[in-house]
Amino acid sequence: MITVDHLTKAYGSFRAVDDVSFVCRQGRVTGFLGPNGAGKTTTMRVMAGLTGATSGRVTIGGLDYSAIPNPGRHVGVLLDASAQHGGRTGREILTLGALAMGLPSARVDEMLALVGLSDVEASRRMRNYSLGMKQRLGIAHALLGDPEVLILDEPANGLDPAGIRWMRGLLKSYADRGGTVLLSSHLLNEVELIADEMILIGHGRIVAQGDKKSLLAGAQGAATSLVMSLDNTALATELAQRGHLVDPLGDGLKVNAPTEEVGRAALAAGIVLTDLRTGGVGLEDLFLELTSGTARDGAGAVPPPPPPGHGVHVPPTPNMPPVDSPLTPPGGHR
Amino acid sequence: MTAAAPTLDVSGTQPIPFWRLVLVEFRKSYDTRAGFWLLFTIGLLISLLQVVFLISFLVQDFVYATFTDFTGNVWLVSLVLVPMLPILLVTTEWSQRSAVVTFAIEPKRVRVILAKLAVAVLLALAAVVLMFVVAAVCTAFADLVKPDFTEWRVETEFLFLGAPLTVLTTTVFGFAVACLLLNTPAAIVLFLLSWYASVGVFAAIAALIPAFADLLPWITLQVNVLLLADGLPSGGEEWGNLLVSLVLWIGLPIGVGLWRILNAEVK
Repeated sequence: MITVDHLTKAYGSFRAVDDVSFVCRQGRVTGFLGPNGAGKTTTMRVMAGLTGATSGRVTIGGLDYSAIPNPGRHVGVLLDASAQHGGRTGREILTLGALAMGLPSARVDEMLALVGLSDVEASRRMRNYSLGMKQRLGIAHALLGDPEVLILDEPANGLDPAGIRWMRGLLKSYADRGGTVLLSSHLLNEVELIADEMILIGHGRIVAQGDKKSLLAGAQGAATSLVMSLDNTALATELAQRGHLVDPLGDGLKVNAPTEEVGRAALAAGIVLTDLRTGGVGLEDLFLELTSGTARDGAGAVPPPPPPGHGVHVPPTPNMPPVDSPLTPPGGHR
Repeated sequence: MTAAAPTLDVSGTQPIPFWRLVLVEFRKSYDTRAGFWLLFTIGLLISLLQVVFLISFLVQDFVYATFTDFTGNVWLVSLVLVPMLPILLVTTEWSQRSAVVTFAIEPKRVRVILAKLAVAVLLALAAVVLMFVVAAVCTAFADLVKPDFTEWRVETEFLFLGAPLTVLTTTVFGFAVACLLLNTPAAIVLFLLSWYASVGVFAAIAALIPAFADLLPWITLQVNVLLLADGLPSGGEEWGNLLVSLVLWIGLPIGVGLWRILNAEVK
């Protein structure tokens, strides 16, 4: 439904978006992932006709955005939840949108109810909103015209965990009803659970795309397992003897080997396992690996992958706990 | 990547009619505190100044009052007060960044800008109508209290041509400055400077360079606009003066501003 065709946006010699091509299909949620400044927002702004492309083209359902009559009825756009007059109330902002799109005012109440903004909240001026409330209002505005296509830039930003879960459900059911959803994020966890397809972008270029399975299949490096046992030290020794890379992780171990190998090692050493599951090549690792050359360095710099067969402990980056790690509290983000 | 992308069925969707854009922009002119109080202040000043004149007329002896006396001062104030409306209407879209949403709803940006101009023109006409209604009420009251000293003497040319034309011209001038700068305080300052200060600055330059004095009638907007109050220009040169100053002060900034609005990235 959304076709990005060799899109390039250059600012002088800097290429914010560099020859990007991808397709968002109908009935699917497409996740657009990349570190800050990777070019996600610029790409989405070109989609909505707010930024001109240097070369290449974006079409929605075969049309340029500006060629769509009353585009709010076909394409819902949320690019920046704060980009509204702070002196207007939430209800007034939606009313203006409904008025322009030619919708009955009842639609405003419907949308406010859908995103869970109460009457009291809706009659407050937007400058007093929290980021989460602004996001809800922005999502309500994007959905106002009952569009077939949704383009959402960082919609989960500022939402509380319950809000993120609510949004996931909303977008999933929207796609199931035949809608096309493109949402961007710099947080993998947010996207991984709802996106049918993922596009990873770094430094203005697409570094990988596909569904979760094919992304992992194409990933470099061996599979990892997460294991807990009654005697982690002995298990680590046994696994190291078998030539696997072992890192302590929380109360357990992270092993660069398939779960079957870990199971065999435990069996051979006679150690009782209490938890064994695949860490895959975490999508997180893949994400960091693919974008490591392009991420903004500094505090969040990504450590280089360890050389194989060398048992160094790689600390997880502080603000991104590994996916499916044993550190994840029960009832956490899953 | 090869999957045939389904097309968007837009056959049943009408483009947003222009009147609806005007309605939206009109609503935007009063649905914020700044907008509401600006409208309120303009209305209040237009009425209050005339009431003050009425009171001073009533308490003084042997003073005559005509209908035009009531409108005269208010009209001069309106010339700079009413243009604040388009300045606010245009620039807040950028200062509050709501242009991102406005232009996503209507990607044909020139239609949005024209809708704003239409609202400014309608509000300016409303201000002129209000001015004359209040003047009529004040004159009627004066006639009632001091009939011997009150004269209706309505100058129809000013009423139907001069006043609306001049207020509209400065309103469009404010709109032009706003389009050029897209910044509220800068637009207000440039508007007031070019309205008030340009006359003095030009006169000072003319004192130094005598040849410049010949140029003055062609480039001074204020003089040409104020002349409009007495009716349309009479001769070819007067028309030329007016048109050249209009192009210079209004046409040029609107052209540059529109080019910028239509082509710039909306952030």
